[in-house]
Amino acid sequence: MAESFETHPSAKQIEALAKGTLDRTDRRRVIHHIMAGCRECHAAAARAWPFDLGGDPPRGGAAQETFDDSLDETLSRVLERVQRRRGRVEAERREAPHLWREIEALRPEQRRLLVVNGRKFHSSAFSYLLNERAEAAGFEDATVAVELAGLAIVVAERLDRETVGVQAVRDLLGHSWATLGNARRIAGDLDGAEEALAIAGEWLSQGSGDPLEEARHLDFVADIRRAQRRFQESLELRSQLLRLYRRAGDEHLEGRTLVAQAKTLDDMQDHSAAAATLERALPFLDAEREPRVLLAAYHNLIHALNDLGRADEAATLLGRARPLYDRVGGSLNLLRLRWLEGKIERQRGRHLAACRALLEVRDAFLSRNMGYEAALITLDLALTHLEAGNHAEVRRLAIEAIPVFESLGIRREVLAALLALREAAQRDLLSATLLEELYARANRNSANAASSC
Amino acid sequence: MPLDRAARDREIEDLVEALRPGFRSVLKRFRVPPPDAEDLLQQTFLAFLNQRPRIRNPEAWLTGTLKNQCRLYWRSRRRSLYQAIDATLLEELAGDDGRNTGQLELRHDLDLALGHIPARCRRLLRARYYHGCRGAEAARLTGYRASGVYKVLDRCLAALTRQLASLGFETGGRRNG
Repeated sequence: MAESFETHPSAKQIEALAKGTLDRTDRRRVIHHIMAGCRECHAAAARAWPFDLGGDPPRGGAAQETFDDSLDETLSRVLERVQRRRGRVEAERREAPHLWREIEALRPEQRRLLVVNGRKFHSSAFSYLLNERAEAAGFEDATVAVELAGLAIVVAERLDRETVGVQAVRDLLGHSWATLGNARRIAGDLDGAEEALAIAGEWLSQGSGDPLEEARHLDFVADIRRAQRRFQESLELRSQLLRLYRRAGDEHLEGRTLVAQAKTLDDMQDHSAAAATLERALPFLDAEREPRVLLAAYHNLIHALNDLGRADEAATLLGRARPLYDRVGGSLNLLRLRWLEGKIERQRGRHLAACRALLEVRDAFLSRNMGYEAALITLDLALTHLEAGNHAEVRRLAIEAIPVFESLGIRREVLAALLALREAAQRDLLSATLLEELYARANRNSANAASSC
Repeated sequence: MPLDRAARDREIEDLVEALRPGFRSVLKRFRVPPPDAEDLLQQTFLAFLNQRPRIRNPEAWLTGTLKNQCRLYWRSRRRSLYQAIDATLLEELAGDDGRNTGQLELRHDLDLALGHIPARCRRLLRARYYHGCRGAEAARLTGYRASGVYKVLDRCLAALTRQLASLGFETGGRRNG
């Protein structure tokens, strides 16, 4: 082996080693030579190797003197190729909604079969559209969201990397796996969500470095940490996100992040910080871009103010936000509005009006088999009756509620709260503190449930 | 508001024009060799085409993405280098019986380099090259978690590579230069 040390490797060979383009024999020779302590070659390696680990460029490195001249030519060539591709991308974008209409009404297995076998479906625009549909479905039906995100991955995996761009395909795979992770979280499958988001992270780390994709991924991870009740980690991730959006100059996304941060603070029972954060978020939010997020901010702020005992302020704000509820629409949002009205009435001591609103909403949720929400409203009702001094009504409510909610198969923790309520009512041990504690316990386990407002 | 056709036709050209000085400064700052810069710019613009409907601030997005491209470029170059060094050491030291002169010399040089890197990295790399321990086994021997050992290995290979490129251990090496 000694003969391999006699001559110096060339600067090109030292550089090629770092690029991974040196053949095995030369690679061995260069490494042996450098390891043997050649001062000259160490200096060459120090110039050519990207050994700085902080992500910054190496000192020295490739010659840059010709760079200024060549950049103009480089940009012209890139522009020409990108303009050629642009026409195709825009055509695919126009075509995507038509493709969606072809499969929208089909059963999931039929959809999948068509998409897998039909080449016309294999476009990045169609995959992005499936991602959008999956995200929208998350507000109504998490199963559909999971299915559509899976379909988006199927499409992304079938794209021609040469035409679309290797990194653009990786971005899309990362985007779609992240959508799947988020959908799984909403469906309550936290392990599956974690797994999907890890895969998304892998794809994105090999993608274009798109800062928006990075931020979206962080956002979903922060949501999982919140669902896992790892609140501090969730808040730290949101702070990172705020910095990213600030740097990108996107105020709306900054506001959206503050809304999510407030939700975590609310889960931590820090209602005052939650309210302050929501007040900070409101001026940033763009009603045209995402009216649903603006509605969520108002809804959660009204909720927080009411929880802080500032019911009159909550009522005034609700009056201002009412047109937004009408504009965003959705029967679930309107039910949540009515629920909030009931809570505000209770806080203001108008027990009759509160009971009327809460009963109306509870029946509506029950008729939709939404047992979890109906159970929480039952606890709200019990609290209202208790405050009105109507203990007999609380007992009746507690006794009647158990079989109804058992038949709906609501979560164990929520049922446990109702059982505790019944027991306390039967023993005459009811108190507002106990009810609030039961409410918090039942609500704590809602972190995985989808919430539109 | 959606862009009309003529505006769409012009958009990328206008962006390239406006961002030319910024691109030049990013690529120079990151010292990306010109042939590779072309690839990074092309990948950036292809990603831009796909993401266009979701991008609010094209200038900030393009500049931010190009910077990330440059970081990823160097990260991938570093990884190729570590892998090349790692693969060579694994091949060369495989079946080391202590009698082969070449292996003895290499071991001597490697020991010198390992002597200058953090102790935990030294243990991990010794376990890898001298005792053939990989993955979970190396993690167990060196006290790292199996799930995190690959990231640690990356860091240790980085430390070794940095050492190879520095003059820190040359005093004991078999001088060639």
